[in-house]
Amino acid sequence: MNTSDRDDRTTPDLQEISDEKIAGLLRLTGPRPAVPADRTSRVRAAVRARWRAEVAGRSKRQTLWTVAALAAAVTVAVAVGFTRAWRPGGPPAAGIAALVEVGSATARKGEAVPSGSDLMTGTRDRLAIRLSSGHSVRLDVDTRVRVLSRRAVALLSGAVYVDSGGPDPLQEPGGESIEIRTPAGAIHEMGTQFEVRIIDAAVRVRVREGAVSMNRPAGGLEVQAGRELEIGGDGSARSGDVPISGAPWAWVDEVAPMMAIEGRTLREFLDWVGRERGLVLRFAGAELAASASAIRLSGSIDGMTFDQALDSVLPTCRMGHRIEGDHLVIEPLAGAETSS
Amino acid sequence: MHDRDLDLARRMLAGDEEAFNEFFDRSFPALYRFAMARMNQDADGAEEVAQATLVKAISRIGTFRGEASLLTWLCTICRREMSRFYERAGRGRPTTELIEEVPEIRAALESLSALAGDDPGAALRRKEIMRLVHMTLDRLPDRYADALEWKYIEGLPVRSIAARLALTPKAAESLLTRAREAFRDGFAALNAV
Repeated sequence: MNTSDRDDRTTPDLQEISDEKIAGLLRLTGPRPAVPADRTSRVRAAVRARWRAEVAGRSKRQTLWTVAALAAAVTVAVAVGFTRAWRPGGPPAAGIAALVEVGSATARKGEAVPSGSDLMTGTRDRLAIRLSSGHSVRLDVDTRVRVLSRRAVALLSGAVYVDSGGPDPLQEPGGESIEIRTPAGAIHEMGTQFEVRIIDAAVRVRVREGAVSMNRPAGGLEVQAGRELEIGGDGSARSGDVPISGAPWAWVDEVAPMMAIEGRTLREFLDWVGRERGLVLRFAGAELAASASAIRLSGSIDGMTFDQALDSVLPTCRMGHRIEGDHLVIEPLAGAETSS
Repeated sequence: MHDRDLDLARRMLAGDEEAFNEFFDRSFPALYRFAMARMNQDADGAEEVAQATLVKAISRIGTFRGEASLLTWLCTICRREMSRFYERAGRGRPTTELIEEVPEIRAALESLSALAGDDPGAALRRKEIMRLVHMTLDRLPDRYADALEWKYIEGLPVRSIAARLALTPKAAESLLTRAREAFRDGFAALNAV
């Protein structure tokens, strides 16, 4: 012990543990054991993903509250319009699955939607519903639909995205086909993911997976995955290619209901992410694929984006990922090894 | 009130990346060691529990009021997460007797003088004391804990500690004084549990 230590010492009879004892204790016990770097890295990635999701969610809630407080007149107008459009007497045909910034606060997650009801989104709102048939239908901003029945929806304006697999692989539709009615004709899905958008007088259909058929007075048309079809107001048809992942589908990700991962395998989670984002799942090795089927997950990814969910879940399984073209590649986490 | 911790929580809520890093770097190693000590040194289990604790804490960080320290608050959550961990695994929690959780702590602490010497028969108690000392260090501000370790374990002179902390030697001496006082208070608080 040096001079400065002695100078710092308080009166011995007033302290239970002297400076000498502190020094002795520390020398005796040695430094605190360090946490292995790979464990720190894994947990940091997972916790950071949750933190970012939390901060993003909080920011949205604050925005919503501000809008509600400052624009009360607008909010009431939207609420009245929404309520009038609701058809309380109809049989339940759908339920609200997810909402993004619903300014009117007239819909709640889990709420039943009677058949015959109109659902509207504003310029900042998106909405996801699950039809009683099991289909997931997502509404983009500035969209209005009428829920006609458990398997039919009329698109009145804006855009919808339909996923016949839904966000939950355990709740797939039981073989029923969904119909989206538009001014240009009725669109029937054939086991698929697709978007229908009304653009002025035209109706555009984009198919991400599977195929859809369109029935119209001028004759039926079929649209396959990776293709789009636009029917003009004059009945003319134009078709072209569309990527099955990336920017054209970005809005769909924003309102995607997150999977309840508790008790599910990692493989189920990855299959779900791949399908939602239009990516083909690929493992860097057979061993990884086998592990993914064996690992059971615990926790929640509610409120996260797909990227945040991947960043949160995979490191805990000692895996990482990268997007390579249309592939979601799962690989071992760099430097992953068992340590204690 | 733990104003520094409260400020950290507020900055995290505001999305401050630096605050997140400070929160994680301060909390995770301490929680991991806390869990390891209570889970029979099960490293995978401790990692899972520490992660679950931090994730839960982040979802509730807005409710942190600073009445207890952040680490005390986290340790409360961690105990619940350990129980959940063993429930999920379908097995009982190990009955690890921790010195800070049993009435005999006073007796053990009274023998500190002997433990600090060369008594070879006190290995078990020495291990328990070691955990208590490490826990006390974990609960100190990082600079305090680091300064104490550098000074008394690595044997660094004050001027080297000052250089590591980007302080003048006088300021480093002052910091060491405060660090010893904080250690003494923290150790006594655990002793009183």
